Amino acid sequence: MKNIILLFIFSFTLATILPAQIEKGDVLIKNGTVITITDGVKENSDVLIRDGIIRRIGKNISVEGIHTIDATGQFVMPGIIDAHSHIGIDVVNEGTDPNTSDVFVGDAINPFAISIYRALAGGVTASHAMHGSANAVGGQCETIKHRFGSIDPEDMKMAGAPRTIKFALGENPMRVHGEGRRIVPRTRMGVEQIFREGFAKAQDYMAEWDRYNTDPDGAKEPPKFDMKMETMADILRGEIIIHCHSYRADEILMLLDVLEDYGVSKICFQHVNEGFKVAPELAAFGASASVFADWWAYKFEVYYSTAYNAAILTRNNVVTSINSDSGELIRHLYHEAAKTQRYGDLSDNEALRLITLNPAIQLGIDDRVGSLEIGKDGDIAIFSKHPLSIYAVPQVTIVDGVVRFDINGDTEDMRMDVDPEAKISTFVDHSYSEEDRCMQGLFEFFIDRK
Amino acid sequence: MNRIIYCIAFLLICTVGISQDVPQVTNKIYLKNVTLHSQPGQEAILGSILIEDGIIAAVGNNVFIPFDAKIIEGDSMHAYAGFIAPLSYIGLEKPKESNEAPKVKRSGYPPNDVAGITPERSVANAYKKDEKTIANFRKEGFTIAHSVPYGGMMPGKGSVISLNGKDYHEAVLSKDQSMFATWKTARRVFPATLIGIMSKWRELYRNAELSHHHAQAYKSNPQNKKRPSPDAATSALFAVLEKKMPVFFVAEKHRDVARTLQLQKELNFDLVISEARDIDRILDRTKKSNARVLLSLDLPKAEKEDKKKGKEEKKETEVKEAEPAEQTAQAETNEAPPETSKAEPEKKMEKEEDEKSKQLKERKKAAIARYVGQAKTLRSSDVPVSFSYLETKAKDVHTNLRRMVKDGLSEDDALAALTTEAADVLNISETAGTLESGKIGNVVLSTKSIFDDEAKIKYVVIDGQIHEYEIKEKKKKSGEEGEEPVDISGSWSYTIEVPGMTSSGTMTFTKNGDSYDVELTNSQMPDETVSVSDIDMNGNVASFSYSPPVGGMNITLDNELTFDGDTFEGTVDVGDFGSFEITGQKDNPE
Repeated sequence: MKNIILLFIFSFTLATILPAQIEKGDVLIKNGTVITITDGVKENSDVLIRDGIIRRIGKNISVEGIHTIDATGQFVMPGIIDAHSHIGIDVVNEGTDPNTSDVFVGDAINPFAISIYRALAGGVTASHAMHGSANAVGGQCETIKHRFGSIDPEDMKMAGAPRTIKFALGENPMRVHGEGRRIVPRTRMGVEQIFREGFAKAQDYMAEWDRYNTDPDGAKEPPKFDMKMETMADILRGEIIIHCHSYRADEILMLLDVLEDYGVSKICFQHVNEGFKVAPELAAFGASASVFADWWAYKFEVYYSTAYNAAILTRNNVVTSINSDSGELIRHLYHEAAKTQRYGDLSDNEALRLITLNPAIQLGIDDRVGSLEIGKDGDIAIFSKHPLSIYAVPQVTIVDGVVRFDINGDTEDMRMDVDPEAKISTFVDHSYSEEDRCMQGLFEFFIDRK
Repeated sequence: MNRIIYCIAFLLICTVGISQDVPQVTNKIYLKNVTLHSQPGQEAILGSILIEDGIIAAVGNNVFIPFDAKIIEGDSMHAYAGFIAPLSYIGLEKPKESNEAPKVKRSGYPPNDVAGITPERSVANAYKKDEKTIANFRKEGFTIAHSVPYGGMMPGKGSVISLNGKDYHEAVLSKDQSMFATWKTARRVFPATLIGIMSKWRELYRNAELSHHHAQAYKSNPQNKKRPSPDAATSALFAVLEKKMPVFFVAEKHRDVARTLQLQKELNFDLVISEARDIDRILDRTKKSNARVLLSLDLPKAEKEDKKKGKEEKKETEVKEAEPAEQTAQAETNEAPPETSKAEPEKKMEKEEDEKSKQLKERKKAAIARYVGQAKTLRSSDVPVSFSYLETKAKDVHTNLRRMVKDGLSEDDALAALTTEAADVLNISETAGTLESGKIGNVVLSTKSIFDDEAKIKYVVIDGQIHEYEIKEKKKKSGEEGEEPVDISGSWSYTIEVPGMTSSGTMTFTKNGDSYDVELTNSQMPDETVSVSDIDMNGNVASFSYSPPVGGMNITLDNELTFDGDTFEGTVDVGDFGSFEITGQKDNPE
């Protein structure tokens, strides 16, 4: 019996860990201002990538017959990482239950999504494709690399990146389930109970399986295999990082209490607009925070906010990042990072860490990306000016040593997939679009409220 | 005496109209002097076929004629093995789709049937021998079909049936041969999304494995063990995990195929990718999975170039006529501006716009060509090809197949897709797919090669039973395809899908000689009515243009509507604004 379980787990992991051959490239970037994040800024320096990995950083590197980019007068930085986005996936919300830990947006990747290319055009090389915030426990998320041009959805996944899951506090789950369906959670207390119930049941589930596995061929019928409980159990085992949509300080502390009760430690709070009120508590717990630069007041629970949030959190030793949560903001995260210099006087390196190494830490991929170091992935963004300058324009974006965006090869129609049945129209649709958003796909739930 | 004549006349009508219902006197049929295409890849020869007791007794150029055989003069008609549809809804009534939210206690935990999970269902219980799809497909030469139930993510088990139009037990070749699966989500209950479907598959499959394991253990030694109690869905999946039952999984687009392959890789079931329309970019993974492929015959419509060109020219002249009027209007309101300075940037913009829409059209054309070329591409990579017929109407089968052949699919490969490959997918190659003695007596006789545009199917023999079809002479007057003009008079409600809004109203058609007059209203301008008289009617396609009264702007809407019973669909072309989808339905259908 154990064999079957092992086989199942093995085939599952094998399927996720060994995707098709990922394209890796060789490239030499010459003579740029190299912003390493972890080892200062190096003027007039070169970066050599071979087989998708950074091999050398220094002066006067010369290699015969390699694709060479002249970055004279330009700025070379690690590819930007967005710890919260919804681009490149066909489904954001499975809004049918307050706990849908069983679903997995990695199953819904759309390699043709033009938003991936647009993100590349903003220097972003990796993003955290997240489930939406309709449910207290949403789905499992996927860390994707922006290998735009690849055709197999599996090739977008950053193989080996830790598993992550979306949690959501406050108004969104209350609205979808409480208001929309008249079920728990209708209040913040209800949201808390969804977590407690999920973890408590998962403990029972684990115990039940442990009892069964002592004698799998014995008298007992095997317990029901439950995808939700499997995922909740994996959170308890520390195998999944929680990324929690949150705004208010009280509910942030509430979740920390819940996690403490169940011995869960890996948590990154998303949005966390009132994070500045509980920064020391977050730091003490070891929780990190991924925030907007200056986006607030779009609903009641987001009124108490400040653009100093990122700076206050940083000064209190909370690992902080700035995210987009939007197919539009993701194109200029470097502007968003620069705002922390106006509001909070962060240094250049501190500001850039918010969109490079820190999000990488939050996603558990900082050993591979987020800074320019030998041995790390060749994910690089090249800017015309210092990336924190309002005049900076992204020039070239490289993923695994492969040039995926070049401003000189940027034609009008970069689509990878053309629908042979769509009507051709040059008519621009300016109506509201909910694409690439947190509450995508939920409209239907609000129409029918009998 | 009169009565006898009536009786004879009545009998005659019966034989012509519903020949299959009249039992044949003899059990031997001799198809004399036909062009034999006994199987793909073999050269056609002149010969004859003898069918005895529903089985092919002999094929060739020297076949003995038994004295009591019914002889059908082949007159060099082309004979093929009866066609096989390896996946279809043939023989099933299409259920009405309901828009109502299902009433369940908790939308995250709906009962299986509400969620679309009914693997225990068998198509045997849904089969209707009088269903019109049986006759429609038979008319196009189909003799055997694998039919699967309608439903959600896991609708149930399919059967292979003969299209002889008889009761299930006489029609069935193989009961519950397959499991059917789709990416169709449930409405407002789990799984409402494709990620829900993926998760549900994993959970159902895993539970079936556990349950199966326990059932086996119980079987080998039931003492001291709890009696296994799998539910209907779980035990229905046992045959799938024992690999006794392949999963026919509908996967139309590239991403559907990728997701289906992902599930198959994790769970390891026998897979037939079905209804594929866009699979050529994921062939390596498809090959690695050992999955069979059934392509959809539902091809995107070709761009009608000639017609469009004509329209554009027409528009240009209209614009030219309109220009002077505009200029005078300008001259009245303003001091006449220097013409060049104003016109140039506008012209430049127009030119850019034209260039853009030209590029978009080119890409669309390429995409259509790629879709039409799927079968060809798969064959060039040595992937066997057959078709599925879930979304294809019987009458479109040969038209679309010919389009693929014109595009470069070899006739042998096309015929194989209809016969041998289809039989192979269903595991019935021993008894069907070729004209060889010992196989089921299923034969198609066509006036010309089936890949010829003029070909008409005259006889379809199923299980030795002859179905004869009248070949209509082309009518000169009506549409290109020789279709009867349809009666569209009456009031119709239409909806135009414009991004960000929908426009709706009514069209009232009244007969005017051979053509129609139409009166249009629109809900946004309730007081205005537009009339167009003497519209173009071509078979079931109506085309007409009109300019709605929109604040002095000169906009022309070119409508092209295809009528089908009580509904129509089509396009409205609004010049530079693009072209939009229009649908409509009759207000008081009979």
